[in-house]
Amino acid sequence: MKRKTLVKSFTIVAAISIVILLLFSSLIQPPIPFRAILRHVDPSSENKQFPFSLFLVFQISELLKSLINGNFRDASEKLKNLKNISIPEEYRFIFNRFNELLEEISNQLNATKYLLDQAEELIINGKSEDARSLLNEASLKLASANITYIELRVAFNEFAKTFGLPIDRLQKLIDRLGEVINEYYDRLLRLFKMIQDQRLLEDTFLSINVTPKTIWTGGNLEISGTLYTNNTFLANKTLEILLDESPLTKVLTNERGEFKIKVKIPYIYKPSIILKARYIPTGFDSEIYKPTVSNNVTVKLLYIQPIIKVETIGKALPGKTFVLNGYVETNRSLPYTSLLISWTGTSLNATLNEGKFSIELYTPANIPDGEYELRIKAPPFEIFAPAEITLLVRVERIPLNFEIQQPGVIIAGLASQIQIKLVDEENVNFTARLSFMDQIYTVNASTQASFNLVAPLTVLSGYHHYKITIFPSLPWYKSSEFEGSILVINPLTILVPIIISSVMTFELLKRKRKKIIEEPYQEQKVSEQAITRVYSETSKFKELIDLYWQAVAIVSEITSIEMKPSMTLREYLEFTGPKLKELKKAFEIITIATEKAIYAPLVLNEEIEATMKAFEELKVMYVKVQL
Amino acid sequence: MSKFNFNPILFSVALAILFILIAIALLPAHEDFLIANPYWNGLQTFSKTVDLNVINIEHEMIIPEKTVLFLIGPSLNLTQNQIEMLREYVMNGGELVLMDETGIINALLSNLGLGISVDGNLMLDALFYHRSWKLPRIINIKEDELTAGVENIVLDLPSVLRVKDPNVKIIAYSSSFSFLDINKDFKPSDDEPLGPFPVAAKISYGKGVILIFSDSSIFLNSIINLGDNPRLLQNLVKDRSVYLDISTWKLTPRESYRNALLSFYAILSAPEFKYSLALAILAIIYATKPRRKTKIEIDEIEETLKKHPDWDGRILKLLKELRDRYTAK
Repeated sequence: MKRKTLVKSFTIVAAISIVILLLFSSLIQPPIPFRAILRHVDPSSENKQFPFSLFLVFQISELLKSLINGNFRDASEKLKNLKNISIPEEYRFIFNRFNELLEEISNQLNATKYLLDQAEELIINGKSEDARSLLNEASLKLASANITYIELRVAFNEFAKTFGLPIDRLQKLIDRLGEVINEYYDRLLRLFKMIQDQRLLEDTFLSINVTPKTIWTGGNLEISGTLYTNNTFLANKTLEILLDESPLTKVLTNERGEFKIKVKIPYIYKPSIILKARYIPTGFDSEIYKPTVSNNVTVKLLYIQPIIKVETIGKALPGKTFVLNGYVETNRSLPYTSLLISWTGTSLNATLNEGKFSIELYTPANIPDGEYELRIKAPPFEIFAPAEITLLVRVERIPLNFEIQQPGVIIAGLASQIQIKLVDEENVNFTARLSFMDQIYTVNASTQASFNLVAPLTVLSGYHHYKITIFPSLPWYKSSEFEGSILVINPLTILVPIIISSVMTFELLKRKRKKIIEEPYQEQKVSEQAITRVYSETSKFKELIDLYWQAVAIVSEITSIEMKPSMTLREYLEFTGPKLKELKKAFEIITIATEKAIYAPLVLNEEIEATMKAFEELKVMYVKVQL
Repeated sequence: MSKFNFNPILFSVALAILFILIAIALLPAHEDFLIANPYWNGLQTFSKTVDLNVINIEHEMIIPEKTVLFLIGPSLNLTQNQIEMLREYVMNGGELVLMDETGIINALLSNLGLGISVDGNLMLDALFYHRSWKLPRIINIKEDELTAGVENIVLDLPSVLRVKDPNVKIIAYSSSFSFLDINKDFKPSDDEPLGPFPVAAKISYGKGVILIFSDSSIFLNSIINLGDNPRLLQNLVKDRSVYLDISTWKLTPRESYRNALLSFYAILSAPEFKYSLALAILAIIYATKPRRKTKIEIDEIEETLKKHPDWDGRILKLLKELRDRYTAK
């Protein structure tokens, strides 16, 4: 093929291929209208977006308001949220720095407030010297907060400019934060002044005694004590009795500065309590006396701690009840008659009989398998402390054992059966579903069920997967699942290709056999035709030509020179001549006569006779050589 | 003009079509949610992470108690049969995870008698997001066993849930700075509602549980590893076997072609076709195998001597041997 034609052909091929490719690519990537609903976007192709400035201002404003109001827990939550705001990477540093400063000032103000509160508490209790160190620490925190505040103001301007935020609204809140720092500073100074003032006041002392030191909970105590200064007893002063730091009662001192009071202790169920008294001067006294707190007195409490012991009888099964037996162990008879039991979202009372109880608990039918809390509570009653025990009860459905009987082979088009038989249990109603060859068969049965299957004639032969799911009707039985494979033989789909291939094979074989039978006949026919063609021209010289070939065979044997197909008669004569010596003449006569017979074709009778003689001579010589 | 050669063109076109057909079948899928799709909008990572089983709920069954069934991004309305199958699955203890932002699953929710629906409008967040407002980051997550260790969830063009039933437990809300983009301009407008909106909810149903997310994209290849989405998936799945129902997906022409090609391949792989093909090949080989031609042996010497009784039989025999030797060479 010419080069030009080739190039032209392949250019057109390439063009057609591209057109086809474009057509197919429309299948690969459906056009946009095909996607009627925009469900999602590729995150990597989305441009990084700034947060909406108004929303950002709002979020920062809310945080600043929390700081201003001293609600540091809320401020901490808002700071955490602020960190989640999405900011493009290149602006992240400015935003993070602003956040850091807000977090720093929040922590510093929180710490300052805590220290000031603690110091104030101590000052109120007359421990002004202990409060001083706290105030010193608070002043350092406040100074740091002030420095952070200055940095925050600078950072805010940069931040607002970068993010294009409206400055006015936020600026007011930042200014207000500065005022808060000043307020803390004022409070600090006030507390320092209180310490200073307390130095000029007279020290007061308070001592108390409590009897007895061990009581039953809910019992009575007698608390007595004396309030005095270095110079005198303080009369008619109100004292506060504290039980575990909580106010219990108030008492007034008599003219000797003494007090005595009987108090009833609430029902508290703990081994010990701490009692103390506090004196906080009020009115005119506050300008004379320092506040004071008494010594701590520990009182041991007695109470009865019941112990609940339980055991479950039977398994907790959905839709069924199980028994909970138990008793409450105490060394006294119980004052109450029932216990509170909580199980799977329901509460009920279990009646006690001489401290023992037995109750049937129902497990809801629709509860999933798992571990659930079973809680038993004994209420507190006077000297009886509350008791509680929590068990983890496992709810687990019972598996059913089934036996599956499947046919070894299913012939498509014929009915077959798969049978399911319940092995262990009796009369359990169940729904069985079989999924086989894209079809679902459902049967309701008890004990045993069977599916009648007819594999359609459209399926292919081979192993087909099936799955059987069994849903027992009783809620305490577990669903079961079985899987397997069945060999399906479809005579139709087997026969059709086999028939086609057999017909094809038969046809091929038939054609081949015909060809084989015909071939020798044709060959023979061809050779006969060739001979006829030659002989028709030289029929009368046939014997002469035969004779030449016999002569050639003898010559080639004598001279060991074969006659090649490319050689003419004359060439062969020339090649063999030197080796034939005296026989050359005879072979020359035969060759020339043969040439004439083939090409003329005209050979004289004399020449034929001479040729015959020459051949005879050649034969005799050859035989001699051979012998 | 040079002669145009037509046969190579036909051959090349046929070859090109064949290659393209094969390429379409073998090249990775691009379609939304396909588990064979390794690109941003596929579920290949999800599939590998949870060892996913794909089913058609209408034709296959799964044991509810040990499985979790995902229905992600349905694009076809659910049939009554599908709804019944899903109802039964949950009633018997299955965990059904519904993920949709279009509202297609509302028919299912309503049929199941649940007081919850998917709004269908896009929800964007202008403050808490990943890269752009279209990818809201959910930071308001309620305490639940499903949200253990989950601090934020990244969504992709989600919608919101409308909850009427007080028994529905909301497990995640969008931020106060989220908004419904009703006019689809991807910007907050004055008349567009502001958040927080519920985006994930949990409902106990029968022995099972239904989890509803107002976004189908949470576990796409490009989203699954953002935020705490992997942890959320881990909590959803636990030790259950994971199934994905694909009966509600509308197939694209390419996917239909691919499926048809696979079906054709399955038919070719059937034993009857395999064995028939082998038989046919054997027959063709047998039929086309060259055989030795039967030659009719003729006693030439005898024939020649009959014609020429005066010729020397011994010489003729020698000549025949020489000729045979010559022709054999």
